[in-house]
Amino acid sequence: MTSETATVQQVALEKDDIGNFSFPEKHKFDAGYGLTKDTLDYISKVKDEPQWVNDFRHRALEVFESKPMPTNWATEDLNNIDFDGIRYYLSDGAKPKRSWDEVPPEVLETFDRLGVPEQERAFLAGVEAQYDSEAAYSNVKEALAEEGVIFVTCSEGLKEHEEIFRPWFGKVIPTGDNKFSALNSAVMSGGSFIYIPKGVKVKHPLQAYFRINSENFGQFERTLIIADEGSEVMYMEGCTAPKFETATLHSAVVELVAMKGAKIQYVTVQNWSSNVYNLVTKRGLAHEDAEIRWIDCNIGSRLTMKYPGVVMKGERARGEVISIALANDNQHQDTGAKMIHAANNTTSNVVSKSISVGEGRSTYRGQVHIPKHLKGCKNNTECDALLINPKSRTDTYPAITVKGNQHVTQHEASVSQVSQEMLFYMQQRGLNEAQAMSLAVNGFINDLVQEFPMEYSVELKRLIDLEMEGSVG
Amino acid sequence: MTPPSALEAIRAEALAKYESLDWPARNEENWRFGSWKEANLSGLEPVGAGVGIDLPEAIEGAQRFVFHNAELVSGSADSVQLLAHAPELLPQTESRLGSPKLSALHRAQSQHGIVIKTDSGADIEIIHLVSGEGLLTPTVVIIADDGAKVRVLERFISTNDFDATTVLCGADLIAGEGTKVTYLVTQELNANSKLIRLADSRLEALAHAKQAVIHTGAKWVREETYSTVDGMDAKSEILSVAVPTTGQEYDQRTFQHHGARDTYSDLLFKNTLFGKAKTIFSGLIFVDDGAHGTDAYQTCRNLMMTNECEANSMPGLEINADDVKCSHGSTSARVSDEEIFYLQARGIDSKSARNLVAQGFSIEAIEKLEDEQLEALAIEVVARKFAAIE
Repeated sequence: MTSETATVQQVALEKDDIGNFSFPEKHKFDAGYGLTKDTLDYISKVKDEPQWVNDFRHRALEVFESKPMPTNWATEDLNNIDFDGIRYYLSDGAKPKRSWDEVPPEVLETFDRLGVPEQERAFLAGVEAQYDSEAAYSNVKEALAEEGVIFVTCSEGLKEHEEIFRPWFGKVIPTGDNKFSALNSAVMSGGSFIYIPKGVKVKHPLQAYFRINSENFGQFERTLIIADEGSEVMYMEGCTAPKFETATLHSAVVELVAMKGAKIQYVTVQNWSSNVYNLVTKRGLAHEDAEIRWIDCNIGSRLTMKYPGVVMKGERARGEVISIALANDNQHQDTGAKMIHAANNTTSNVVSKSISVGEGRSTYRGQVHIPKHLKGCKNNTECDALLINPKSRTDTYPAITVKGNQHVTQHEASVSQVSQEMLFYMQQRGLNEAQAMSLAVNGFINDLVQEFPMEYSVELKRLIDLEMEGSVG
Repeated sequence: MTPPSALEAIRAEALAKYESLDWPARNEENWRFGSWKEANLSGLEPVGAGVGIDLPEAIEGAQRFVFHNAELVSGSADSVQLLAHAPELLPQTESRLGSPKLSALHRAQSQHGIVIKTDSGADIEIIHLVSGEGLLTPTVVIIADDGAKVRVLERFISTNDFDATTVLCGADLIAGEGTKVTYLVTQELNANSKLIRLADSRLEALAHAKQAVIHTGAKWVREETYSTVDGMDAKSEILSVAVPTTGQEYDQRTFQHHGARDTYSDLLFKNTLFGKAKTIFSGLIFVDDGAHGTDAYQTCRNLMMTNECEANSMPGLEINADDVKCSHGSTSARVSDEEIFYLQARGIDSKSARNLVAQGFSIEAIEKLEDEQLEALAIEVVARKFAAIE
């Protein structure tokens, strides 16, 4: 173990599970450990940022330092994050070359069983710094450019498209929204900027993979997507394969802006190793007749806190969150949704399903807000939890505020387990207990899995099988 | 009999605790959406002697106890004990829903109250006639043993329309093995008064308890109901009906704690909001590690009668065991146009139709009491409020 990996160990679990390993690394740019004003200046300098961005970072750092940890409602585990033991900016240029020999055999097996494409494997294992997608997707990129779609890194966006970027940047999620959005605003790097011009309907889902950029999976990525009037786009991030992280804190901010009549779907599938704190702020702003959907799948991590939100600012805007969470041993999935109705006749829907395996804990935390002087707002929230083992744990904490009698809201939650009868029935028909359990769990989330793009849903099913192994019998 | 000094000792200890604690503050999760400032009772002096008014009709068969503020003016103390005489029976309860300071204050000021301890049965009606500006701290302790069947009705009634009385009351219920307890509380205070009610209950094996509250009065209510089902096949039912209007805010927090295997709890809260009323419901079903076979339900329904009312719901679950059946539901909606139309078509004007539907909505919870006399009383209290709003 080299000295660089000491950071991981400071907060990592002792448990030796899949994905919980690290590589020696060399980085061209490294801001060093800890967070000071100099760190921000270093990042700004390396990225050659305009002064307003540097000012923005400095203000954010002040906010971050002034805000207390939200442990009045969130888990005390947040206090275990050692902010001084984290490197806030790494990389660019020479990424490490790891050899396949360094990748543990169980990881290779995981790739095999998930059916991860050969090219992606190399990238995910860190054998290749970049996912070489140029050939496969060059046609798509050309088509996009022709239609005037901008799809660049966030850094490029703020420099080269300032006139579109700046009016919306930090507007949906202000720096002071929460402690971790402030942290992200101070040290952001990586992430995407997407602009879809009026009336353009992007046929293929956009993926961070498309871009040849080593910052794709940054620790503090910042994404801003603007869909102009009447346009449509689907964005996908992550993948079902375990992502081998040496960084223990991932704190992203994603802002979506859907102008009049636009549609944005944002699909996330993440499978973090169980030493990672994944603290993400995601929110969309939907104007008149616009629709924003968050389709979210969280697997792994030590602690995930993620509550995608939609602010329905224009009449008849629609917000939706579809979420699947799976928590295994030593993992806590604290996920949910936030629906803010700020105009008449806006509707929102939240469907959340969680599975707790072993000693895993999953939490749903939701907020629905319908203020005064509005009419015709509707919200539907459903959250279902499935407990697999006797030590599995689940919590639900929704908060619903409704003012006035012109609205309809309903919230329902249930907790259940796979019934012995169901398992017995399947075992009688020749499945072993683990297979029967996998089938039952896949059945539980089946209606949500169908919301994901096809290749994701296939991988998701295999992933569930994998996670369920050893959980029964 | 314990000498009065024992109560003094309990009060002194609670006073020290009270002084060491802070008043509820803005960022406390247990006070989310709530008016934490209202809970600050510093400087409030105990109320003086109370007065009497014409008493409501008595419940047939029940023994009646009437308090004028802190003084017991009617009722024989043979079948029950007065708190002053049995302070050792006052359970040591922790206020786990946000008001430890208020709980300590209640204990420090405890002087009057009734302890119902029985191993056979009891049928009790307690009427608190409340008046005067200041703080009143009544207590009811119910300890049922050995399959006893207990019925308790407790009413809080203001004697006038203007005195701003703050009632800080405690209710402790211990339902022993195989007991059956029905406990109804009606809160009919005037529009200047406040009620803070800290209720704690523990059910042992095979016990079956129904606890219900009817809120129609007071300008601000904070009610913390903590229910522990601690023995196999224990069954706890918690019911509430509230009809607030302009100037009234009801803040109710509940905790359904499942501490043993094969236990059952069911909670149903029904709020009908008129005018600029505000309600807060925060409920948590908490299933302990190892409490397998738990059956727990929680439902809060808000009927929104105007465009100015506000309902906040926080229905929560924390499950640490498997093989459980738990669900919660929360809805907010208005009376549907179809229902109004149906009644209008039968010659009922739209306002009466709406109130008729709303009363029916409340009665759905009241019927779960399964006690004709108590149901009739609860319906009467609710109907009086509807009549006052019309």
